[in-house]
Parts: sequence; C-alpha cells; structure tokens
Amino acid sequence: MRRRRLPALAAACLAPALRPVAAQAATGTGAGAVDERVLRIVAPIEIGGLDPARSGFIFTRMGVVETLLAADAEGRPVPALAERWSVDAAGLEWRFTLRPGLRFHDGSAVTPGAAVASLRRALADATALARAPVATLDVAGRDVVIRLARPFSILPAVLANYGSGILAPASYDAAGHVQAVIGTGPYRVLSITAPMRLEVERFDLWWGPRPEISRAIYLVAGQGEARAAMAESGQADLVFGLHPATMARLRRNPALEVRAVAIPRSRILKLNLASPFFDSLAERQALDLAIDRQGIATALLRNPSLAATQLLPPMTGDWHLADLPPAERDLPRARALLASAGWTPGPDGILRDRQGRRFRVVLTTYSTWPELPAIATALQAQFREIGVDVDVSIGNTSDIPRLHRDVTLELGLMSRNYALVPDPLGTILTDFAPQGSDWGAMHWTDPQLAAALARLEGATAPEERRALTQRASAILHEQRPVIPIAWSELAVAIGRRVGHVAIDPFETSYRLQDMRWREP
Amino acid sequence: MGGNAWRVLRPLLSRLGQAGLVALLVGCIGFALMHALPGDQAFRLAAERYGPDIVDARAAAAMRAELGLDRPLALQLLEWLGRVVRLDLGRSLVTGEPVIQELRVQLGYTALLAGMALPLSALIGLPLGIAAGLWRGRWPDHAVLSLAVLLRAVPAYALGLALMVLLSVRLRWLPPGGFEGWAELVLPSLTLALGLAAVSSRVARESVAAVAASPVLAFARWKGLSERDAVRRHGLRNAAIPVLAVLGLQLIGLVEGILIVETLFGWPGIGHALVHAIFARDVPLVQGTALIMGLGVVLLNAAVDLACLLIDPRRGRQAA
Amino acid sequence: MSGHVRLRDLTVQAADGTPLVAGLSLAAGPGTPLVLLGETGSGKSLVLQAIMGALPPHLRRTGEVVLDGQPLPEGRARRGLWGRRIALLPQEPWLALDPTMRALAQVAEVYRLVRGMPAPRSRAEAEQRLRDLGIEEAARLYPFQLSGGMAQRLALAVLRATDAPLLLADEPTKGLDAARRDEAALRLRDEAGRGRTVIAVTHDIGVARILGGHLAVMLEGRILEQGPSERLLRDPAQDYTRRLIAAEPSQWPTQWRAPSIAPPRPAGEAVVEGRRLGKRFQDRAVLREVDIAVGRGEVVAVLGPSGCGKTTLGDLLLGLLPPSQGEVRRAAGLAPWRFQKLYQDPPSAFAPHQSMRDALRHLGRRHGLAPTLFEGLRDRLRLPPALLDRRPAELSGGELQRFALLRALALDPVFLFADEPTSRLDPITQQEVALLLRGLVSERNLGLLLVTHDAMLAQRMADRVFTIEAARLLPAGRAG
Repeated sequence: MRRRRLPALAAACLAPALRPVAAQAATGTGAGAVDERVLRIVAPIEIGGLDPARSGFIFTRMGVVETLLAADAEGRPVPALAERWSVDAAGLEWRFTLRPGLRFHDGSAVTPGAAVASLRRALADATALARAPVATLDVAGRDVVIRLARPFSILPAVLANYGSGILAPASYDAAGHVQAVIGTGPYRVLSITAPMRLEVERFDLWWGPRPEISRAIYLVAGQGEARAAMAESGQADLVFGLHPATMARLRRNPALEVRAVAIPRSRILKLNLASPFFDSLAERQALDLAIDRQGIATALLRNPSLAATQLLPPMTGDWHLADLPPAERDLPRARALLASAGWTPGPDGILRDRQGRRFRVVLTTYSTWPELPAIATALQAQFREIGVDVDVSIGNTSDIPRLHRDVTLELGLMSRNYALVPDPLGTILTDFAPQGSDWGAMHWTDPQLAAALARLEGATAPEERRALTQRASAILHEQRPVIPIAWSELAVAIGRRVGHVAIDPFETSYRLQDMRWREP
Repeated sequence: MGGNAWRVLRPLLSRLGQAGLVALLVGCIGFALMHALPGDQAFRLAAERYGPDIVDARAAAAMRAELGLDRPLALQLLEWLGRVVRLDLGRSLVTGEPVIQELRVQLGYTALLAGMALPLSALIGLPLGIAAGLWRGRWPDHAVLSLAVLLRAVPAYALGLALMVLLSVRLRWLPPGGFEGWAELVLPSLTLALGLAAVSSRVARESVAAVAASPVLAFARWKGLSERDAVRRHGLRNAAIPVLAVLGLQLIGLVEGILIVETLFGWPGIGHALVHAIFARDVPLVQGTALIMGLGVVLLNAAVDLACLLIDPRRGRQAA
Repeated sequence: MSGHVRLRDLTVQAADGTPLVAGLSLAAGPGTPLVLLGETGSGKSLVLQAIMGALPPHLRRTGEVVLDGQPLPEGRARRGLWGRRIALLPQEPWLALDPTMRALAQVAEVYRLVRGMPAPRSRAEAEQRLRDLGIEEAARLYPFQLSGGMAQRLALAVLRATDAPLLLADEPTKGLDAARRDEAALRLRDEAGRGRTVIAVTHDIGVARILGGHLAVMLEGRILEQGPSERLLRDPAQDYTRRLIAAEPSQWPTQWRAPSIAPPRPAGEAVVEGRRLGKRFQDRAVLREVDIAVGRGEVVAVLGPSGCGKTTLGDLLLGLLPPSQGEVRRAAGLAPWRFQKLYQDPPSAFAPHQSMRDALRHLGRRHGLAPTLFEGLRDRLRLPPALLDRRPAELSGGELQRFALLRALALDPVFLFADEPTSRLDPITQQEVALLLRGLVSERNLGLLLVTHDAMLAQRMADRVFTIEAARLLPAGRAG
C-alpha cells in the first residue's frame, strides 16, 4: 500500500460510508497482479449526494453511472448502454435496444425494466429529462420504448445527461432514496466520504474493453490555491478548475501539462427588456459596443481568444456563426445609438432621457465563479464611459432567478452552461422560450426565433437542422436579448504519470477508461 | 468521601446545564441568522441540490413545497426544538439525509484533526513557553515572544497557505490536501496547532515566570531540593493550573481555527460542513452542526474542569 | 550541633554604588537568637539574603560570611548548603508552602530527596516532625486548609527535617494577629533552645522581646546599637531605639475614660447603627445577630483574628455589602460620601500612575471643593507640598495612608471606617498615624469604627472595644 491509512478512529467514523462497499465486495475484481497505482483527480465540486438527479455528474464523470446514450467530443449521440436506437417517422416513438449481457456492479443483470425504473425517477425530479415531452415509458423485449407527446429531436442528448443515469434496483431503499450508487460503468464505487471524496475501482464485468487504470480517487479541494498546490506537489494526476492567474504559473512547471479546452459555457449579461433602459435595440447595441471584450478576456481571463463575439463559442458547431465580423469596441457609435434612443448626457456625464431620468442601473452577479465580480467591475467602468451609471451587487446564485421572478432585475452578469445536455438546443429552448427564463431572456419574445426553435424540436434532416440552428443564432445575435461577454475554457493540470487524457468539453465523463499510465 | 464526589459532580452538573442552554441558544440563533441572511432559501437549497446551472424558479418552487419552507418561521423553529428534545436533529434540506448521519463521519474527522492539533500545540507551545519563562528577559524569551506575535498576527488561512507552499510545493515533504493517511493530517493540524501554540506558549511563559519567582519555588530550593526536583515537584503543577484554565478558554479559538483550516485544506470535518450548510441555507444542518460544535466545546471544557480538579486541590474544597 | 556564624564587614551595594548594608559585623551561635530589629528599608532582610547567597543579581556584596570557621563558598556552591547547613523560614509561610501538595508530603520529601532516606522511613520521620509540633492532624491537609499558625508550624517542621544548624527567619510574624504572633515567636525561641543558631529579622519589638538573645537595631543599613536583648530594650542608648520602643502600643499613654466593660451604645446619638445584623457567604454565617452603634466623637474598636468578619461588619455599616438579615441605619439627611472608608493597604486605594496632586484635583472637581481646604488639611496631616507631585509607589506607607486620610477628611465625614489602618506601617509611623486619627475624631466630632487584630492598639485608641467570636459581637474586657 502506498500510504498508511488512518486507523482506528477514522475507520470507526468511516464505517457507515463503507458499509455498502462491503456488500459490493462480494463480486470483487478478478485475480492477477494487482496494480497499486491510484489515479487521483482533484476538482472543486463537492459530492452533494448519491442521487443521479443531484450530484449525478460526478458519478458519470468517474465512470460509475452510465446513461442509455452518451455524447462524443462534438456532442453527437453515441451508443452507451443502448447499442442502437431508432425513431418512427412521426418522431414520437423512440426505441433503445440494450446491449446484451450488461451487468450492474452488484452482479445483477441490467434489464430494460430497471432502466425504465431509473428514467421514471428522473422524470419525477428536477432533471433535463423532466423537461422533455415524455408521454410514456415502456419495456418491449430488450428495448426501452419512450413515447413523446410531440417530436423532440434532442431526446438522445437529454438521455446522455447525468440525470438520466441508470442505477440498479438495489440502489434504492424502500422509500426510494438512493442508498448506494450501483451503476453499470467501467468503475464501481469503493468508498464515498461525502462530500469530499469518492474512490472507485475497475469493474471487470463492464461491457467495453478492459481499462488500464484500476483505481481512481475523486477528491474535492474547494480553494483554488489548494488545488494548484496539489497539482504542483504531484499529489494529483488531474486537477480541474484552475484559476486563470495560477494557470500561467502551472504552465511553467515542467512536471505538469496544462490543457485548456473550450467548453459551451458563456459569461453573459442578462437584461430586463421591459425596463426603459433596455427596451430598444439601439440601447442594447450601444451597451454591446461599449464593452471591451478583448481587454476583459486578456486581463481577467488571460486568454484573448475567449472574447465572445456572439453567444455560443466555435466549438458548438452549427450554433456558431462563422462569418461574423469581430466585435470591436466603438464608443462614438454607442453614444450615437443612445442619442437616437433619446438619451443625452447630463451635467455629471450620466445620460438622461426626456423625462430627466438618469441612466442608472443595478448589475447583479454572484461569486460562485470568482471571475464574475471582477468582470462586473470592469463592465461598470466601461459603461461609465458612455454615461451609464452601474451599481454592482454581488450576491449568490439564487439572486438572479429571484429578481427575475420579482421582475426587479435590471442587469445580471452570469455564467451559463449551454451543455446541460450535450446539444445546446436543450438549454436554448428553455432560456429563450417566449415566456422568458431565469437564466435566459427577460421580457423578450421573437416570433421568428420561436418558430425556428419549434421546428428544430421536430426536425431530423441534418441540412434543415443546420439552417434552423444558424437562423436561431443569427436572431439571438441581432436582437441581443442577452449580451455575450466572454466564452469559457476548462483548464486542467495533468501530471506526468498519466497519458491518453482526453478532456470532454461537455464534461459528461473524465474518460478514465481510456487513460494509460505512462510507465507500464 | 461523599464530599469529594460532590466536588467532582458539581462542576459536571453545571456543565450539563450549560450544555442544555447551549443547545437551545445555538439552535435559535442559527435559525434566526439563517433567515436573516439575504437570498431566497428555496433557491439556495435547489442550487446546492441540483447545481447552480440547472436551478430555476420551478426547481425552487418544488423545493419550497417539498420542504414546507413557506410555513410560518415560528412553527418551523418550534418543530426543530421539539425534535431536538427527542434527540432528533432532523434531515438535511439539501441531501434529505438525517443530519445526525451527515455529521457522524464529519465529526470523526474533526475529532481526529482537533485530537492531533491540541497535543501538537501543547508539544510546540509548552516547551517554548517554559523555556521563555525560565529564561525570562533573555534571548529565548524575546525569540518566543516574537514568534508568538507573528503567528498570532498571521491569519490561519495565510499561515496554512504558507505552510502548503513551503512544505508541499517546495520541499515536497507533505501532501497539501486530501485526507487519506497520517501524512495528509499533518499540514492542517500543524496550521491549527501553531495558532494555538502562539497563545499557549504565552500563557505557559507567564505562568512559569510567576511560579519561578514565587515563594513556593524559593522555599523548595531553601529546603535543599535540587533545581530539578524543585521544578518537578513544585514548579510544574503550579504552573500548569493557569495554563490548563486558559486552555479551556482557547477551545473557542480552536473552533474558529477549525472552520478556516478545514475549508482551506478540504478536510471533510464539521467546520467545513458548517460553512457549506450556511452557503446552502440548509438550516437543520447549520443548527445541527452548530449544536454539535457547541456541545463539543462544553464537553472539552468539562474535561478541562476535571483536569483542573485533579491537579488543583483548592478547587471545590473548603478552606479550614 | 555546630552553627557558629560570623559576619565580617558585610556590605551590600546597589548597582549605582549606594550602600544598602554598610560594613556589618555580627556573630551568632547556637542557643542564643540574634535578632535584627529595624524598619522597612533598614537593610535587615538583605543581611539574611546575603547569608543565604540569594541576593538579587543586581546587588553587589563584599565582606565575609563565616560558618563554623569556614568562609561560605560563593555563588552556586552556596546553594549546596541550603537545607543542609542553612535553612530559611520564609515570610508568610502559607504563601511559600506548595498549595497543591499535602502537608506530610512537603515534610517527607526533605528526608526522601535531600537526605536520601527510603520512602517509608521518610514518611515516618515526617509524621514524627508533625507530632513534635502538634499538627499531626494536618498531615493529609493542603496548606490552604491550614490556619496561619499551623502553616508556620508546618514550615518549621520542614526546616526541622533539614536538620540544618543555622536557621534564618525573615519577618517570622508578618501577617499574624497578636496572639498568633506571640506563639510564633515562642516557637522560634524553642528552635534556638534546641541548639540551633537562629537569626531573625523583625520590625516588631514584641517579637524581639520574646525571642530575647542578642539584639541589633538597624537603621539605614547600619547597626545603630547592639547588645543583650533584655538590657538594650530596658535601657537603650540611642534616641531612635527609644522612639522605637515608645511606639509600641503598650507603651502609649493610657487611654482616657475607657471603662472596664464597653457599654453597648454610645453616650450620644448614633451616626451609624446596625440592628440584628447577619451576613452569610454561601453556606457560612460570618455574622449573626449583631447590634452595634457608633456615635459622634467616639472610637469603637472591633477586635478579632483574620477572617472573623470584622471587615464585613464595617462594610455592612457603610452599605458596601447588603446584610443577609437585620438593618443598617445611617443618620438622616447626609450625603453618602460623608461615610468613608480607610483601607488597610494604602497603595491599593490609589491609581498607580496618578500623582497625589491629580488625585486630589479629581476629587475636588467631582465634589466642588476649594483648593484651600486641601491645603489646610495637608498642614494638619503634616504632608509637605513636595509630596504632591509623587505617585503612590514613590511615597512611604505612612505618607500614603495620610493622603488617604486627607482624601477622606476633605469630604467632611461624619463616620469613618478604618480597616486595619496601621497594620502595614512601621512602628513609629503606626504610632503617628494612630494618634493623628484619634485626635481628629475629637477635633472634627466624627465617629470612627476601628477594625484591628491588635488588642493593645484597640485599647490605646478606642472608647469602646468589642470582639467577634463565633460570628457574634461581644464587649471586650480591658486587657491587662
């Protein structure tokens, strides 16, 4: 054993967490030479519970829980537990055929019935699946049959979301709470010390090729400096969630590879379009032109290519508009646009409209993402130059949805993930629905966008989908119901010991099963 | 002998009463503070449960209905008190698990951390303090004073980071985080212990200096005892009495240190749980954690009381 | 047993060269105690420390200490004699005994650790020492459970265990009341009677009288005169020695009109009166059913050993403590500050960093008093103006107590509670302050409650004398 374990006391307090493991140990791994090496992953996000609807992403990322379908690096659906799938001509009945001989980690067979049971629980909870128009869930032979109330082309993406993970019936207690995570993936749970640590080992009855890494640990370190130190000290093989400031330092460390992968997440400014400040397109365009995206991306994110010229980054494929000119800061045009909307500078340099109302708004943001407050103050300074007075209010993640409901929000700066399901359409559909959305538009509807999205929900032909997607993106870009500031990247520090690391931009899996030790 | 039993029982009974009071106060204050914080509780809970990306008003509304968060606050508090009387701390609003079960593992880790840090602080602080007290006014005294002032002035967070950079990143002696073996325990407990030792060394110094100049030690020498015997038989115990008493007061500092150190090093203890529960507005978990911490302090104080009773015969005895 | 000591030209100098003890030459031998008598600051304690080799490091000693023909070794080597050839009885032994160790163990460890006896024999010897001194029942008690006299006997038992031929005693009666003082002095004389050489230092002529032997009177680091104790006390050659002897309360002029048994009430109207007063602290009744009244122009003394409740009685009358039973009546229509207290320990009654001038100015401002008032009182109390700019630490005990008196009198009191007002003062100063106080009572027609453990002082100062016994106030007969 590499290190001495905490004895007696720690063992006593760990006992409750270890109990399910003891039950699982009966089906243990195969014989042969035991590889003592343990892959260690350090990340900021805590294990909030065992339920797939809650902290499920950690269990899918660690290869414990699988979904019927998965996503490839471009977000396209690929077989997972289901080896193939089909949809009828009307786009309403979907059939997913399970691979033969699948086993749960407790050795029991994976039946379509068990899969349906898990999906039913997902439908009843706050998951992505619960937003899909599912009518019925049935079993037919080896197939799981999902009937929809209306065509919904991104069902495969929704099924690849962690919330749709498949657990063994033995995972649930009588009351339906998840009491042990018994999945089907290449790795099974060895121990969980919620909320900080998850240890997994290779599951030898997995359907895919035998992974090389035999054991892995997911460890939470909430403080960015602590995570950086763990990478630098060689204590971790993979460290996620590096702050821009520490990345430069880690890059100079010869023992580490720092990789930054573009992900479908954007920092955006949400505007209340019912407010007199943002109700005209000219006003929104003026704000857009006042933003120095290049400066923000360079100074605060240390990567100029993250300056967001449009809502969705290039890696989202059709959702990205290829031929847009770069967004240049243009203060004279911004001032002219504001003047055309009736705003003239007052004696203090702040704009006033014809009623004499000052252009003074509150920008609400939160500190869960440490760069947001910094961006907020940068925006405050930049907007001041065109005579817009901004107060910054820094709270927590609940503030923007709450103020949206209160209809008191004016400006909100937030970080939005467009890959809750691997197809951005899933998130765009809710965020830009006609009634608005907590993390999307506010008091804005566009019949053309609604029509395009509605058609996208049903469309299956690739050419048609591509045209509709581009159309939707173009409308969002022209109308600016939200103003993009900067795209995001996922920064990972990779230690010397491990190779064949592939970072999934949709963050569905760490792909542990594909990794190799550099030295055999 | 009955009188002697009472001598021990009396402070314990008073501590027991104190424990009850602590439970009541901590529960109510925790509840009040949680509801006084800005932000919508249902939104915070949903964000914690489902992740901030997926939370929206619908999830929050479901949360509010499921947990009955819109019931009158007084009713919610009364319910909690009623359950505490039956030794039931309720369930976490985020995970739905019983609070007691959530805390059991974390309490063990905190006990491990505190159990390591306290002796370590004694091991560091007392010898330094004793040396400073014996050579008071000379260079060991000045050196220990400067060190103690420095350690007290540096916040635990910065001290922990500095140790992390020095011992883990530069020297690679110790892992900077995690909690898998003794090696991972060293940095957090050292951070905690250094802060505590800064205080205990000063108390030990004052106490030893007072005893060294006391007529008790002088008389022990005049009796003909060697310096070693005089200090061993008459110096140490007398010097230990105030040190022990102050140690009891220091436990408050221990709680504060645990909150910071556990957060920094990602130690899955009760302090870390409290910080998270506060962010999530998980009221029962906040109440439960604060309650356990409060009881822990009372318990440790009772242990200090007992130790004082053992070494100080004046406590609880009538003068003639 | 040997133990012949000679001091030859012993000198102790401060760091700046000021002589604190100057050219002292003395001799002492077994059986005849040598007593050094003098006031605070006369250098008498430094002589003991010089013999012990325990002078503070900043002091410099010259001259020689010869024990049994051998000059005592210097520095650390001297320490090897402690507990073997030289033993020292500490001041206030209850502070020097280890509060956390039972009595027997404190004696036994001398046999065990200094004399190397096995544990059972050490215990047996120690028990015998306690029996010798009549405190065998204290064997299992802790020092705080012992009375002052018992603590002193325990300390003596420890020193007897050392069997050192030379016994030094530094103010052996400090903090004891009159009766205990005499006992303690007698015990020390017994030590000499057992063939030890005893050198004692005291400011109390009573103690010198009991110890007998050879007496040396010290003043400002020098020996003023010396000789056989009995002759010197009877027929002193020096004026200072005569004043010292005259300052003993028993030598004061006899008090006027003190009747044999004190009447319960004052002749005139009472300024303060307590009726059926009772006071309990936790479970212990300190006072029960006490009736007391103090009239204008009279001194009422309450006598009793330490801890008997006499201070409590005064505090009840002043209203500083609430009574558990009974009631206190003060003369009607008077401001509360006209009932004043004079403390035992004058330094504790002043702010340490404040000059006397500032202290009085604050008082004057608060009560709107004219500065001329202070001047008059200062003259009456014989306090030269130069003292006004000093801080408490820079004044002697007598000066400070007179300032305390000035402060009290400035408020035109009708009643003064003096709590052991002279017990920390040197004899000559004590006499001065006591007579001043007595004179002021008649002059200003105020009632004085004097609380003291010194029966002679009470007899010499008071019109009526009471004692507290078993929590009750009883009239005292005139001591013979």
